[in-house]
Amino acid sequence: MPRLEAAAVCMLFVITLVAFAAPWLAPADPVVKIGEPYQPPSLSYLFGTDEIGRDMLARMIYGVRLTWLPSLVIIAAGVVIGTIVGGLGALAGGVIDLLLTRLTELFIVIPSTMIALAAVAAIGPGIWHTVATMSVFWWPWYARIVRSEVKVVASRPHAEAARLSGVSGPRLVIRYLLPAALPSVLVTATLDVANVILVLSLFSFLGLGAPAPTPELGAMTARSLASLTTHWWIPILPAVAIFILVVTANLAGDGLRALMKAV
Amino acid sequence: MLDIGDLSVTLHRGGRPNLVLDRVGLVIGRGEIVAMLGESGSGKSTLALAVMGLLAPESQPIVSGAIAIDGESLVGASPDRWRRMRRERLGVVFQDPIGSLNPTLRIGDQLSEAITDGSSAASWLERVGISEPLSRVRAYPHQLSGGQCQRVMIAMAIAKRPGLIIADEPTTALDVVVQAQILALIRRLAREEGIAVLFVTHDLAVASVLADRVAVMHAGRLVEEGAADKLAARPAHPYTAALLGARFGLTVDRTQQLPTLVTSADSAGAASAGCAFAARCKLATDHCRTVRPPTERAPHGGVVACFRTAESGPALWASASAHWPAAQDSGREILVELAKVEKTYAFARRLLAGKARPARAMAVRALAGVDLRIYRGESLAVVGGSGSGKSTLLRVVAGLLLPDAGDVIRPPENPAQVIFQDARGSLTPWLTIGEQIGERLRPLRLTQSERRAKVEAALEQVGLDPRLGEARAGDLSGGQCQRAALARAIVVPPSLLLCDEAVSALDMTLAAAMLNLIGSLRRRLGMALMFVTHDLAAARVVADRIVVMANGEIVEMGDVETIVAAPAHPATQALLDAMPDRLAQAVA
Repeated sequence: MPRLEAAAVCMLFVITLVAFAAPWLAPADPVVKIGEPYQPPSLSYLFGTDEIGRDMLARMIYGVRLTWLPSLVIIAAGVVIGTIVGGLGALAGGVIDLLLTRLTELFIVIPSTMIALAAVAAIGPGIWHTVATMSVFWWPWYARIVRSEVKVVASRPHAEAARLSGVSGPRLVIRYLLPAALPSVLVTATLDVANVILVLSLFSFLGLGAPAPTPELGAMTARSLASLTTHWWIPILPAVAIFILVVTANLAGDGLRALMKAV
Repeated sequence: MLDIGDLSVTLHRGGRPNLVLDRVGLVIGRGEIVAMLGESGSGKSTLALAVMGLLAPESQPIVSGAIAIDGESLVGASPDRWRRMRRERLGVVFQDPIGSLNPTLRIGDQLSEAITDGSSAASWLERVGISEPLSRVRAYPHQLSGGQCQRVMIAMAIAKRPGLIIADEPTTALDVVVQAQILALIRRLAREEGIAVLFVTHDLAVASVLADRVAVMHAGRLVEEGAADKLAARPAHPYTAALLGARFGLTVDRTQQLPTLVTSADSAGAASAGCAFAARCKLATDHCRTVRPPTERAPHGGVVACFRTAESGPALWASASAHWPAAQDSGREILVELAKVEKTYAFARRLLAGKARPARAMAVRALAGVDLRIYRGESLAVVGGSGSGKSTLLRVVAGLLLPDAGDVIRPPENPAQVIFQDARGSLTPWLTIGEQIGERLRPLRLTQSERRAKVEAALEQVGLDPRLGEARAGDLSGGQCQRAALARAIVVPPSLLLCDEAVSALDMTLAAAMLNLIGSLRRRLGMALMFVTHDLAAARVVADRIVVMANGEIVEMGDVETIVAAPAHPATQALLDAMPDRLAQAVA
């Protein structure tokens, strides 16, 4: 694996670690005023304070937690549901395949973000409500990828040879068919991180995701855009954090792909 | 026309340098046809790519020595100069004709780009023997067969009237009947136009009927070179003699195994200080292993690089064959029975149809009422050209394909095992060889160590190092992949072993070894064999009974010697005429 990609994979671990350990790492409570508002970054407040006087560093650390973990959950849910739907369709064929393909296409054409917004509004705002609702809509592309990859590999000689060897059922699927879809799914997932983070911040911006005082990175940038010219660190620092998350995820995806090729 | 001197090429694979060509020298005169002969991995294709300036940049090629085409020196030339050279003075014909044509352009338009003298594309199609040239200029590549595409490629290569054509295994992907036609075409047109040809091939028979001179490559070095007829009659290098000995035609003694002359190419080392062939050579001395033999004049008038030339020769290898193991007697019990089996492939009119069939064909009858019995322990060859339905028949017998009509009765125990033509593709790339062989042992409920022992025993039976059980398909050579697939098939011996063109993609030396292996294993393990091939010589070696197919029907069936000696059906005759033994007549 090239050095840059290897670094990105390590970075991803660090980010995930930070996300889990936020309560212990943060220097202050992220939602409580700890000093004067609009303090620029200094030795006492490394990332400065925001418009109310809350510590930006603490808010950023919690922000990583509240942005990164939900993104992981949504993508994981998308991969799992997509793999089940796509894999089932490819293997069953016939009417089941047709129905599942149409279902997938239905979920692709409906304005899923709008419906998700309505659904979250109905069941009440909250980050985990958003995560649950988005997971319901996030799988169709994965289903498509898995279905086409499994269909191709199932007709290849090595899958036929496996069947002639007496391999069937779940063992055939898990050991011989699904691994063929892994590289494409992984690449799609890493590129997807950016999308998920953007949609999540949209929810927060509209007040449906993390409610107002909660430090979610997208919401922090969105709410403080007005102070960009006067107090740059309040919108810019969370934006930079999002940028780093997305780039790291993409590079790590490249690294994992190279690693799988080498095996 | 082409002057290569002391050419060395180092390519990088996975960051490691690899000396692929080691001080190769070759001269081709104007209008001369030279065949470059070697097995896979010998560096012959790298040589062709180097002469075309098409070495892949990602392999970080390091080239030293001299390449001159028509007096113009090209080592270290800029990409622009190479491009101009290829456009103006080099014709190229690749192995994969369909992939080499642009699928989005009509062949007439592609051909017109190459024509320099104002003649029409249709007239060129007519010259390369494509019927209905006036309507075919409007066809797209996918509407032509593989053989027709190769004819178009040849027309494109010759139409710009280059001084030199480089043909890299142009007939390997074609069936034998088409191969003979294409060879005849290349020879006739090159003669008519006075064009020099560098023809890369692994097939000695092809090389000797087509070329004026043959150059033999082994492990990146040129080991022998000489006039085609003399070299084939009296090879001076043990390696050439080995290739000659491994060639099996329709007259080879089938009562014993084919002569196996050399160990596998995997043991050859390009970087060795002495002769690179020493590790495989039965004549090698310590001197051979430490000192590189110089290139000297050979008895046949060409050159050879060997210290033991005097002892070499076909006679040395004739005695190398072994007897077949005793077969188990299994009576005349019917193992598989097919009655009036039919299979039709229907095609929707796809925008980009598959290879080799016209876009309007809506249905192809691959099996048109086939009756066949396979007896326990017998050895049956199913022979036919491409599109004859022989592979469909194999898939039906294997149970991989359900017939549209008719009955198939298969044995209830141990299902048949299949050896596919694409051996590498028949191994799952992300699992180890041992894991895949082990799948067949799962129903036996063995312990870990018992299973491991069985896997290793199977690998040893097919002549592979048992440690290769830990390897994956990507780590193995083509020949090793074929053996690994065979090990998986026989770890629990099936009652029926099905081989789908199992040796067609292999070099002659590897093919002979594989046929010996299949023939021995089926006798020792009491398996019935159904061997599907277009190669009557291979069929004759492994099979006692032959079935000839054409257009989805069995057109001839009987004892192998009877059919080879007196073919009754024109389809059989066509296959026989295309055999290397008779290729010379076909090409002349």
